Amino acid sequence: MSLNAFITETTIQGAADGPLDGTTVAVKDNISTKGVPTTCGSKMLADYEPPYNATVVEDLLAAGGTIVGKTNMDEFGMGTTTETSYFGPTKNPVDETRVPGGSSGGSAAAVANGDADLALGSDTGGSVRAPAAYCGVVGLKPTYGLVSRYGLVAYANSLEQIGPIAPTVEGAAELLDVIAGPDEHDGTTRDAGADADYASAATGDVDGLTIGVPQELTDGADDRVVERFEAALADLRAEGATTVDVALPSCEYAVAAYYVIAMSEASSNLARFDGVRYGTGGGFDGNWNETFADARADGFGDEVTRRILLGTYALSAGYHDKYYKQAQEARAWVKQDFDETFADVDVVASPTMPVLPPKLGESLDDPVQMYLADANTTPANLANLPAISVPAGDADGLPVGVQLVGPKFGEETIINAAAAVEQ
Amino acid sequence: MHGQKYFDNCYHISLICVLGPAIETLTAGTRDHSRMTDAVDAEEIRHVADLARLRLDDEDVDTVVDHCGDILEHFERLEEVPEVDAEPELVNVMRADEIADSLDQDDALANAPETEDGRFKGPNVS
Repeated sequence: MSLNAFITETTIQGAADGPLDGTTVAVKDNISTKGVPTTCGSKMLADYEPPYNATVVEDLLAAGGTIVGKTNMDEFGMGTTTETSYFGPTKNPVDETRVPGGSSGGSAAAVANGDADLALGSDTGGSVRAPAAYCGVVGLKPTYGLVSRYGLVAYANSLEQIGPIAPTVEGAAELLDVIAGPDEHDGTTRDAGADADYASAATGDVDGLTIGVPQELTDGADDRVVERFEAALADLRAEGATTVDVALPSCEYAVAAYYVIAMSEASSNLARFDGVRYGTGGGFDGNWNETFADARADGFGDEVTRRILLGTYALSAGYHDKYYKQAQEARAWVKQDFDETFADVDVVASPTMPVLPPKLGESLDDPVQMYLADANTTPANLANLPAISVPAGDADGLPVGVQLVGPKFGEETIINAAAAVEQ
Repeated sequence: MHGQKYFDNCYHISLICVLGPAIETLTAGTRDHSRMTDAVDAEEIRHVADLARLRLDDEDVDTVVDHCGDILEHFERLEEVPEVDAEPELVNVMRADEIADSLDQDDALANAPETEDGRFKGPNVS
């Protein structure tokens, strides 16, 4: 694999017929596949084989899909470039000197390269949309609670959703139809999506649609990205849509709020990796605490270590109010901002990523710099809202994605609008 | 150069919407990694690593302190966030306990590095 898009290549055959009959699907390697390694891109789980399938995997197979492999990813989903994987970085198929985005970089690269018809990723702060934008494909983060997280190895439960990646908006919508709906194994799922027909919403009829454009999410973006974004808006206006300026002042705090909450949840979720029930372990001397500390240091990479440390710090006595409580206030503010905005507009549009895909090796030395690339994607996770990234042409030969955010369970609206951008 | 453009634009973003009060710690071209940050020191990082059961090698501590300091400085802007009068979305959902099938014991133990008599085997407690 020249792109290093897959960690494990395999064939898991689905049911004899169904809507995905004859369709190949790549699955991110943090989504459990029974008896097939599910590494989360980590040395810690290099040999882990789940004893059960994630609900979305059961859904895929029941719909007739064929799983062709488990895709590379930033370790435990912690990254925006797919460079923090223990199994090495994935290359962007559009330009192999550049990152594919992350953390679902293997999934997006596999679809863009034609190695799979469709793919599943997971999106905690943009991890489906970022790689979709950088690889020139479509990626959708569903409303929180639309898709079951049962069998998704947790990074930050309150923020993440599994979402589809596809070459077209309609393809992404078809895969969403298969995985959406309530699940008794995930208490946060809702009844919405049970009888969904998202694919038929991909008509691109935007006549009369009102699109809000928040300056907070375009200021500071690369000029070449903004140019493509403005051209996409002009096309939508020509199709009968109206664009209006909206204000989302809370979004200037979204990156900080996202990282405090995600790291705090990660510090708790990743406590289970102690080398006893699964993961690397054993062979270390000393008592319980020393042995765990050695096994965890051995199994986790630098970015995961950093996020566990900072999450532990943010939740520790004396700092909880300063960081975690304030981040929750910011999250409530972001929700409120979007609620008020959706009283006046149907969707909110922005560039998906403020920059073009960086070169491999350019991002890891300065974590703050890497986190800032998530400025436009994290608000939708904080507000539990659906968001889609759709290709909007190239700049200097590199793909640019436009992001459309909708109101809660407004997937049809953003799928329809995205289909218009695609045309 | 695309690379240079990327960094320039990220600084642009950081200046307008992220760092705020910490702007004076940025220099025009490159970030100064040698500066000391007030946000966190080596002793605190070692303490947190101990709480998180993560062994930190001595030679890594300075880098971790530096990176974590940068990130925590960035988080400090959350102090500007106003109080929001939000309606709580959380409700308790109750149901009766029901006996159902669960994971087979052999399956549950299959990924453990060590087991004994159908149980996980861990290290000595002390």
